[in-house]
Amino acid sequence: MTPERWLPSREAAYVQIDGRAAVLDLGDPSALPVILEGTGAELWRDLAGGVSLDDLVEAQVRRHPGVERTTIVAGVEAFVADLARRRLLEVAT
Amino acid sequence: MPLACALVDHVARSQGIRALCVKGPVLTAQGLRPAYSSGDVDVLVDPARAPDLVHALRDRGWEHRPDDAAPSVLGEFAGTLRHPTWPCELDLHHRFPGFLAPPEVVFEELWERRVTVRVAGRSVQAPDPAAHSVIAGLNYIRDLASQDRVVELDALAAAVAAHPEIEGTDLVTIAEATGAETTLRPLFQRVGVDVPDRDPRYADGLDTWLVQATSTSSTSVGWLYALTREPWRRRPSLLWRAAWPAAGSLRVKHDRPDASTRELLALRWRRLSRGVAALPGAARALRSARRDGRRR
Repeated sequence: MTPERWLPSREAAYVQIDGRAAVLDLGDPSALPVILEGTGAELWRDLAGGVSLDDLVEAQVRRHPGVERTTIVAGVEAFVADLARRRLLEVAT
Repeated sequence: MPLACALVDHVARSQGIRALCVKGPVLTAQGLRPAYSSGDVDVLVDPARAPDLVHALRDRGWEHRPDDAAPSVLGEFAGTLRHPTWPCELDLHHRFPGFLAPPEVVFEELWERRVTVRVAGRSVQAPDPAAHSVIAGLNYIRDLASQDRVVELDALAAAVAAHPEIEGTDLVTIAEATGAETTLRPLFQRVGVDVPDRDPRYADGLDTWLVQATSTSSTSVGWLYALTREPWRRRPSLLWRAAWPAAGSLRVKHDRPDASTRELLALRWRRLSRGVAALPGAARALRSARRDGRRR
């Protein structure tokens, strides 16, 4: 089960400019910035702002009324899992 | 650029190296400069550990940018690193022009006044707003022959005067501790702070500073100034280097890594004719700066 709240990890640096986000794992010497655009940038902005996963899904459902809720839940969870695997997000404690 | 700033701060801290992010996004975050886009990140590093920071960054793929070997009036004060996949360069300063006290004394004073500033979602180490305004002021003043720098200095002075965390007495205290009493005069005057007395220990550094701060043709003045400070026996080789630079220097200077021999020859001739044309102006600028220095 996906935890309720995620935040940028302690070793992540990020900037948000012009609807895009660039996120870097400072702890990995070979890492390059990950560029997020569109929905990815929106999700990052909300996560960095401390929005819970439930609220994140609700916000996406409102922004994309034509998309099935289950599709949005799966997309958000996949996004979070991917960034967590890259050590850019960690569970809020 | 803020990402690169956070990166250098992280690398320095993880190696136990004292370093302060200066100018750029930090200056903006402290309300001392409007947001702007720049191509480099500036860091002031403990002079004794600067090579260690370069080494640590090299482990992450950052490499020294070769310089063009032209002497500058102020001498070398920073090393520039670049990375094949990052769009900005890192300027690692082991000293900062305009602070006439020894670099280690200056660094200790600025380090004592450090604060943390949020940049790229991280807390990076930086000078406090008063110390940072002194650094920014010196950065503009050293090129005050440029109208753009005059505008930037005016804007900085207005920001300093309105800043809730900066007192005029702070500026004087920092300037006295770092040998910037005279070099910072244009900022003091704009902020309405009484200019402190000059420190006689730094007369030679002040002469150099005034040459830089009042010259418009800095490359020609740089060569001429270097020439006047060299012993006579070394002047011919310096003169030759100025007139006919090595191929590597030319390629770096003009950012033409693949320039052919024929293209290099053309670059040399253009440079020589421009240099000769600029010499009288450079000589006048040098004389004028030195007269100005004697009057102060």
